[in-house]
Amino acid sequence: MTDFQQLYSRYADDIYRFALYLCGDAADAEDITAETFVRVLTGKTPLISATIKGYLLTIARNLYLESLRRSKRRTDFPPELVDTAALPEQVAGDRAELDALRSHLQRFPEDDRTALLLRSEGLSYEEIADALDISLASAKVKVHRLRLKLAEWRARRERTQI
Amino acid sequence: METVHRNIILDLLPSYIGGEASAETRALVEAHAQHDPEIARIIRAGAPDITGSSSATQPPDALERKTILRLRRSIRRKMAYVAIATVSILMIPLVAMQFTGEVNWSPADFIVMGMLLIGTGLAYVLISQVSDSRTYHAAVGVAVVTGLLLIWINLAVGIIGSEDNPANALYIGVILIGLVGVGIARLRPRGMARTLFAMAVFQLLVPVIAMIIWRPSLADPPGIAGVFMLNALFAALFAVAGLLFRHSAGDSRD
Repeated sequence: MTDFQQLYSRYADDIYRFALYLCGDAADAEDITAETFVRVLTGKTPLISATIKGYLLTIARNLYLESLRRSKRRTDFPPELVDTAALPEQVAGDRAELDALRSHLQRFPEDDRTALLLRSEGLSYEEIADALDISLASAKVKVHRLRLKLAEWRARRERTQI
Repeated sequence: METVHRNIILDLLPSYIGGEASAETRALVEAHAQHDPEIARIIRAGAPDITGSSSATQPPDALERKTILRLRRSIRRKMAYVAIATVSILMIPLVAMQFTGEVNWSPADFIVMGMLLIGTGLAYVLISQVSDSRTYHAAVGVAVVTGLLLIWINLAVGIIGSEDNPANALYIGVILIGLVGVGIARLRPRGMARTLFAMAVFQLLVPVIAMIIWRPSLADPPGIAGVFMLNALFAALFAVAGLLFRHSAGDSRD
């Protein structure tokens, strides 16, 4: 299990975070993360990326798409209900911000979300293009478009909060 | 300074926000933001920190255990496939025995063959867990199937003369080299490649050693040329597995 533990301790945080923002639901993100490592370690998925992180993230994305097809549901998850009153003010604020972001992300097309999340996880535009099977230019457009929309959303949120 | 159209700034803004813009682009966007409050607000807000680590975006501690349990379940499922495949293969001689006298397996034959098949299947399942490389899986497949054939042929008819010929005991050495090598290599592809090459070399040496010690017995069918050709075939298969392991070492991504 040494290989598993090394792989898990190095990448579990990244895969879970990616899955969480992609699907918007903590329980689904746990399932996707666990299954990603099972797929890798049982050799069920062929090599599809130049880096192991890209490989894992691509598997996680494919699992998410599989789960969507299985359940025939579109993602429009409400943010998880968390009793923020029980948390310290700063933590509660961060948590609320994260929940709002997670929820807001679900409004955009899956491939746009994936492109931005993969870029945020440090993948190159070439790797994103490969993972999504799109052109390099499309990968850049998807990332830039969503990044701008999120920045505009944040700016609007800040303005309304003031 | 020449005025830049707002749409151009909006085109540049994602690169700026993402920290991917050149110094010139940054200067251009910042100069524009000084007299465009909306752009300035977007820049101040920036893109959300998606990679930011917080307790809300970290997997729960129990997830590691959950993943291990899933992994074990997956391995158990594969073992069940091995058992089903073994029973299915053993059904062939069992059914044949009902229709022809040509096939006549004793219970011991079934037990030995069953153990060989299960051992081969489990060896493949367990060793192939080590890597997700298809080349590594192919190498494991070639190696275990060749090992299985070597043992089976020796038990059934023997490579050198009949199965009772003591020279055939030399092939235990090939399998022992494999087992010891796998232990030393700890399943790492380069070490596995060296192990398979050593097995191939010893396989080629077996008829030579047999000729020195038991020369007369090599005259029995399949004859000296036949024995050397069979050994060369097995050695070639072990060498192919070794080459595949060596190739998979280049695929490993750790």
